[in-house]
Amino acid sequence: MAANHKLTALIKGRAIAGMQGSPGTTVISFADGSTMTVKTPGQTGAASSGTVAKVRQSGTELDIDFEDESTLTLTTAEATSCVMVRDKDGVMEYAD
Amino acid sequence: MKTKRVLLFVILFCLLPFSGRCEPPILPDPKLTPGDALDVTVADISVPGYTKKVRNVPEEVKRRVYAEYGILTHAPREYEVDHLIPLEIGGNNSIKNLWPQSYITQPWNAHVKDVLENRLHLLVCSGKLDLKTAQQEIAGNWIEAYKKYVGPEPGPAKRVEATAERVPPASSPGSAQVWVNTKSGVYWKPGTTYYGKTKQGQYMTESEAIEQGYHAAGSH
Repeated sequence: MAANHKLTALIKGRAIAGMQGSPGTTVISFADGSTMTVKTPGQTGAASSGTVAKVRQSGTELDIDFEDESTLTLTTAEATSCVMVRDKDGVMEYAD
Repeated sequence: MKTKRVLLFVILFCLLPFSGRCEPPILPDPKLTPGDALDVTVADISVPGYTKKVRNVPEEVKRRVYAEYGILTHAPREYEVDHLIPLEIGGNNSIKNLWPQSYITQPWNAHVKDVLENRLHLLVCSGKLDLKTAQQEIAGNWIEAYKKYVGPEPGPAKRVEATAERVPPASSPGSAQVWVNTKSGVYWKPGTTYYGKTKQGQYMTESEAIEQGYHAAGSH
């Protein structure tokens, strides 16, 4: 699966502080106060934690690899336009 | 002889749908490309360099766009997989917002639409046009939006202006025009390296550029 270099460069090193899921949306909160919102086709998966090492993406699969070599796999609602990252002040840092 | 000609015409006409090519779509098909936007605000899109934060459209998605429109082959620089609602005013990379727009059809083509996109971005960021209205109007019929916000249909003379958009407008004393690279958020003064030369950009006065959050090349 191809690396998402733009997203990797942005969130590499950020530690997950929490995950909230609702039907159609997963919100990942990072320890630095930033958030990543992912549109999903249904209910989100299990909560995960770790420090981001790399992001890979292909089609509707989004893999977040952590420094401890575990991976959080999310399914996006579409191949594009489902991921947005905002910093602690709400300023948009990344959109897909 | 006449019968043979008619027969030849009928055969060619019948083969046309199977030639693997369609007429370049001047307007997107509203069923395939109704337009789609990110959940962003005017403040988001007004930040210089905003569009750089948006992921590039993956090649696999571009291939799907061409396939949806029945374009099986195309020459280099014949089409651009374009955002119907442009990134500059919050459009997203959903396939619902992408279509193969011709670079070569006249008078309406991707270059002409770029002029409209820059105009709408300017109007929205300066508070003269509501963001949602801009998105709806360009998604509804970008040609009508062009006529409304830019000017009348670009005829041959206008076309020259459109392709020679990089000629700076005459300026009055004290209102010298700078060239704003609307993608990077940097503006260039006359005589500098990229004055009038970047792919995306527009002329405006320096005070307008500063007011809209752009910064001079080399100042950061």
